[in-house]
Amino acid sequence: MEMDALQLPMLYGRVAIAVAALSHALCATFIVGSSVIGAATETIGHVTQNPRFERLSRLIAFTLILTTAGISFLGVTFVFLLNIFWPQFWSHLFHIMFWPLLLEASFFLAEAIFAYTWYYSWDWANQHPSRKRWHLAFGWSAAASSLIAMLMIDMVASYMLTPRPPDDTWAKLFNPTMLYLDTHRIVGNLTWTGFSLAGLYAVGFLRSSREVDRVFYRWAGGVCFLIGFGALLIMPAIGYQYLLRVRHIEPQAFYTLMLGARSWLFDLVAVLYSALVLFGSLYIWRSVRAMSTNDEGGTARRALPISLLVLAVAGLILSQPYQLQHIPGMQVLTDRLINPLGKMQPNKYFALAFLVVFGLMNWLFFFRSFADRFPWWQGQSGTEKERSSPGLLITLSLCAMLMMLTMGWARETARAYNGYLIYGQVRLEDERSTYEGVKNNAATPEAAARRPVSP
Amino acid sequence: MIDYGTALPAIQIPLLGNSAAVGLFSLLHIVLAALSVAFMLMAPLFEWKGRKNPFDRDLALVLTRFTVVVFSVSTVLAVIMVELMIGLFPVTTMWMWNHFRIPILFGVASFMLMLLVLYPYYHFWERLRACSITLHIALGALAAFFILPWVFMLDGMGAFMLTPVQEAGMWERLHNPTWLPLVIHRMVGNFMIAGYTLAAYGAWRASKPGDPGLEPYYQHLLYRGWTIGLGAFLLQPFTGLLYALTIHRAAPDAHESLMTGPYAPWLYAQVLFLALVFLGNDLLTKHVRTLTGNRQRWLDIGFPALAALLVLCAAYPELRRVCVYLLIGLTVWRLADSLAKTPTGAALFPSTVRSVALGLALLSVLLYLTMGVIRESSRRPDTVRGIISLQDELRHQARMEGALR
Repeated sequence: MEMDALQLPMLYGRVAIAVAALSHALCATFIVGSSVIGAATETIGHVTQNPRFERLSRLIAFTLILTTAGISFLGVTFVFLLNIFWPQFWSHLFHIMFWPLLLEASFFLAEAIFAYTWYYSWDWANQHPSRKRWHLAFGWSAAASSLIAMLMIDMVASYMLTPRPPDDTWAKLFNPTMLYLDTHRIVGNLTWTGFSLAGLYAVGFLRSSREVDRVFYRWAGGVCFLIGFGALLIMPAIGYQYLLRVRHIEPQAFYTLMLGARSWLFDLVAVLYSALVLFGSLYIWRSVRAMSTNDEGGTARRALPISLLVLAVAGLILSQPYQLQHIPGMQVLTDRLINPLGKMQPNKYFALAFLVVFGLMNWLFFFRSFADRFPWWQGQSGTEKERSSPGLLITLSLCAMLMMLTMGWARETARAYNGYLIYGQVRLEDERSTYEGVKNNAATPEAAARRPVSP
Repeated sequence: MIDYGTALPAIQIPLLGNSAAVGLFSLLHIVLAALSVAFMLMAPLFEWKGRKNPFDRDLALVLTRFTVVVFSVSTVLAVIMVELMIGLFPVTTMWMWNHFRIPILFGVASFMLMLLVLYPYYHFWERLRACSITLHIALGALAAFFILPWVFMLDGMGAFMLTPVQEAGMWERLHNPTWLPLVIHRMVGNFMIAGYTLAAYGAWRASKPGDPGLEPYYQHLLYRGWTIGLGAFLLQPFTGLLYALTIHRAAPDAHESLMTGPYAPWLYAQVLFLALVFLGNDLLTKHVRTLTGNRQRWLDIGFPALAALLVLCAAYPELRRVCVYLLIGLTVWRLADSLAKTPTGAALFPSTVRSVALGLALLSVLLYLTMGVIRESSRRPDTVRGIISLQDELRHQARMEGALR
């Protein structure tokens, strides 16, 4: 059976796969995050009998089912594109990771069933108190299914960067970076989903005309921001552990990302992280400042401006690139190859520590403000200053989205830049016959002999 | 390509076996997809009719809600199906997708447009209708239009696997001899199962409407669904004949294996379901005949006898066809005769209707799926007739094991 050569530059295939993978991943991570946050907010609402949480979880459920519909089709598209542009890699990876991939799809099916049941049985559940437990079970089942589906796909994704022998089932599934990647992604999903939901409710706030809706959206945006910002502060610790593993197992990939040709991507992640902490703290300051002046929140009002200043300086240092030569277009501005300010140790470590510690302090101020007698989210409508807070939430959600995309790209490019689709096992070059026909088929013995094989 | 220095055995699905696993998820996906396609096509038409009849407007909303609700489940079932195909039949899957990549990308683009239109159509139903009903109907029609390229593309790939066209471009491959007959046959089949499913839902809800005021609405659903289901069902033998004749002309050996090969029992099962659906439709209108005194007692015995004869003639195509056409003629005549004498509201009521309608829905789905199984089986042992066989898949597995070793 002869395959038609695609007769395209390989770059086209790489771009198509990258676009499909990133858009798929963006929605998939949102589903994991929103199913967990949605189930949690409904549970809090049920326990505290707070109708605001009930309304919030219902809104989250609505976004969840819309995303589930979108992602399921993006998933099909992604699989189609993989089979068209990288058929040899895909069929080999499938042969090695058949069960995790099949289980991933099966748990996503379960997630879709539970999520739809959850959303469409809301009115039914509210008719009788005993039904509410069933309803909560639907929500948590959707969340659990999406988390397991993600675990399965993380087995595959981590295997591609740090593979083990394919016949050793446990070693390949629980490869050296699997747990680190999964933990990193769970927290990352909460960050991105928290910020993006906050951004959505900021839009809802700007669009709503009734005061009761504006108060709700302001509160909902604050709650989702609290989740996103809290998770953001945990990210560096997990990310650091993850990178340490990559450094030990695949030093070439680590080098590419931290000091090599793709280090500019990690610089971009640092810029976005700094922006998220800084803008998030600015949002907290604006919210706390909007509280009615009384004894409550006095410490926060005094500490937050200082904190913002420290964060701005720390963010500036963290964002400094070290290897200037690898930043596209930088040669136009300077001939220097290295920027000493951008050294990881000690500059960036200190900067990161300040960002996390001061960010945490601000988060605690914000968390406490929800319990005040005159909360910040009530009774500030119509003032000029409040209009910037929804804008900040939207900015934060866009930054979070960019960071998710950049981190995904960074992880994939650490392999692809060194020519691998599965590190040390399958190379991009092996797929050349798909594009140019059998004349350069890397599967032939001669081609296989030419290709270096990693240990 | 890969030098792992290790061995990895071929993938085998336990208990079910590889082919049955792919078949199971394909059939599950196909049922939901067929219903969704038919409902999407029906929704704007009912909404248009709903300008005069509010029941039809509500029906359009129910149909769209079904489509939206089952969409994700149906698509994920498709993902599982595709993953199984890649894992278990990689040679066929890679080859097919390679040879249809442009139509696939075209179908994907069209499907995305459909999604972009369908979701506002459903989720902003009242808001958009408040602006302009015509605009809203146009949105629904647009969603229905955008789903068609996807359906036609998949039918083209399915038809190609049975009657491939070699030495041709991608679009010519899609436009293979059995493509159009298959498109027509499946589309009518989609309407058949959608109609009967709608009728079953209406009958089930009409018997327990909760709010008594809703009973006429559910009766309306039952009547509409049954009309569509029956209309499509009566058309199916003709579209099926067209499809069978095209297969006979393009791939006589495949046609022969359908009739007499190891998968012939599927054909007998199909004929049995066909006979049962005829009987179910007849039962559904028995009440009308009683009401109008139009008993036609000789036919009350003759009709089931003819249906039984159809089952007995399953192995004889000419006799089978005669029986089918006679049954179609009798069904139309008895219906026309009875319905002319009674208002349609009383036509489908009351008591036994629910179980008969549910039975008809189940039978129509079984009939639809059996046809799919027959079509797929007729290629065996090839996966793409005359091009790729199951042997090629085994050879690939062996090569893979060798490479891994």
